[in-house]
Amino acid sequence: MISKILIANRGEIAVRIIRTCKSLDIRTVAIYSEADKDSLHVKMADEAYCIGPARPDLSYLNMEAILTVAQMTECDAIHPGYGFLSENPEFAEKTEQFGCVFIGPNYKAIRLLGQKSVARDIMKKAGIPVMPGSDSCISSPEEGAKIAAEIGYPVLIKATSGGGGKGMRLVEKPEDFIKLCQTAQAEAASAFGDDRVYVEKYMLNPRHIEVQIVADQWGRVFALGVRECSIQRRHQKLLEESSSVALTPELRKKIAETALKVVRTINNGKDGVIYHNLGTVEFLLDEDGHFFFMEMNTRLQVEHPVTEMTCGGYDLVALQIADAMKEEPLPLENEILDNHGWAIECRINAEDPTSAFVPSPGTIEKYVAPGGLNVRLDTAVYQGYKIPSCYDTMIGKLIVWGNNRDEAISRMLVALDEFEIEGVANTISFHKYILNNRDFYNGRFSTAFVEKHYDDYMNKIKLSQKQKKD
Amino acid sequence: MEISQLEQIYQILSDNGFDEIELRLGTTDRIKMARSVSSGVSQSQKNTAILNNTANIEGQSKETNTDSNKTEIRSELVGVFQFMDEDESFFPKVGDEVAMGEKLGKILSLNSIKEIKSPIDGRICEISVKKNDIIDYGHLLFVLEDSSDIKS
Repeated sequence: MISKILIANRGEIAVRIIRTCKSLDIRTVAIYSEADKDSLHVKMADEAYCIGPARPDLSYLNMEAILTVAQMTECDAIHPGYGFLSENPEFAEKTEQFGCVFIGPNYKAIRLLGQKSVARDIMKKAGIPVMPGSDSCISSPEEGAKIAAEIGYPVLIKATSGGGGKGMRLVEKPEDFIKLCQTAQAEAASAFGDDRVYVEKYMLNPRHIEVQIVADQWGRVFALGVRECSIQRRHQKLLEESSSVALTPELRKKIAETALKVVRTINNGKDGVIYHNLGTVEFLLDEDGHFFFMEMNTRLQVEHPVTEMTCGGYDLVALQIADAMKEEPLPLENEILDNHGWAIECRINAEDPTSAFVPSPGTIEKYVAPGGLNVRLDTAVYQGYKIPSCYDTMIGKLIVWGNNRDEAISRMLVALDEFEIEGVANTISFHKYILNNRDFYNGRFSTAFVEKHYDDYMNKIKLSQKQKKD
Repeated sequence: MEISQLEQIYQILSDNGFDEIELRLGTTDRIKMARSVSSGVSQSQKNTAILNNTANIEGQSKETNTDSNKTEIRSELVGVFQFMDEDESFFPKVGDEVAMGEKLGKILSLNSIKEIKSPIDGRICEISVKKNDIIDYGHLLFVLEDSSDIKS
């Protein structure tokens, strides 16, 4: 039984988790840094404790402080949200040792899948398609250069402990390999304390497709639809959809079956680890419909609401808590649940898209939220709230559902028109541009969309400013 | 990039105690900005300073006693507060004289105990904590008055 949960996170995801806890009659404990004393999650939780200054390593990444609060307040469980400590196996292990339930997968599974090159090797051996590349981490830049020559350029050098594009380098010519490999190793050592890298063939114009996995502690695994997250900038997703225009029903089924196989491969491993709770299996899809395993994220994903909107209305956080209670198998039946209708999520950030997306922290002077049928806004801001400069600049996630993609696009455009934010720059105009773009509408896009269309967006902004002046 | 944006970046550096920041603009431009630690109050300095007179601490002005001879002692970690001795043989009271370095209490966190010592020779003006209170980071514990000011 879980009756009190500490939420080891901030912002919209902390608010979102608190909402589910309240609906389940579970008490909540928030933690916050000095920079977040006016945050909504602090106001909404039953109890809230300041655990440190703004710097994440002294607050939201401070395991000792978080576990101290959990102990003092007699919490049964800790929900890590996403980011911060959510994929830190040490934190998950310490939480368990401390006698608290970590709401997420087993720490051994987090550790295993956190080593990208190890996960890649395991999947390759199980017959799951992976991009051609080195079998494990390279022992030297020279060995990497040899492998790159065999698989053909361009190649990607990736940090095995990496994420978010850190420790990653694209190499287009053989003469650049050694230097870029050394740079990637140095960056990986600095960011993750681990300089090991591996080499992978670089796919031109891929699409990012992912499958939501739900699994319980009885070894049952389910795939809840697919998501497409190709609209991204510097590996940060801007807009997500569920389902994907790039997938036929047959391909959707095949990719979901492959995702299930990924989890079963972990469950069939020698170490006896059973993968449970939530996870996301990420794939790259090429223009000919071939897909390749990229990695598995062992946490609740930012874009999970598009799955909730299209897959039976399941509350994924409630499923996480139900799994963590380990009282009975999860109430799911079909191994593969296909998407129903269409959902789109726009991540509205306090960034200036007309100025290379420079962060724009500050006070929200005016705030009018959109609404209406099948419109959802996950946010932690309010009028008068000051977006701190020390964390990500997300204002909120705007999610809509439609019977089909056209309806979802129209509904999102109406919602974006309604959304009024003053005081900080924001990305609403860029999201409108994406949704009105012909290539996006026709489904002709890849992860290079933003780079390809940014100049056109700027031209349209300048033209519209000129017209206003005239 | 405009000057106002550079100023904004500097503010981010300053607010968060970062000494260096690197930005990439487009595919070719890169801006690297570093500041001298001595040019502002770094976060590590702040953490040390939190046990000292908070009038010197950036961002603490709301909680600072404007009376300059008062020194606030705040918690620098989250935990459970206890007075110095389990048997409460030393139980500070308002009006007690304390010497610099004298132990006033302790905060128990999961794996550590932080002793709270007086940063000055002075007198206890206020005790804002009770035994076994759950203490946030930055929670006000004691207010002391400087002995030299009392004498003068």
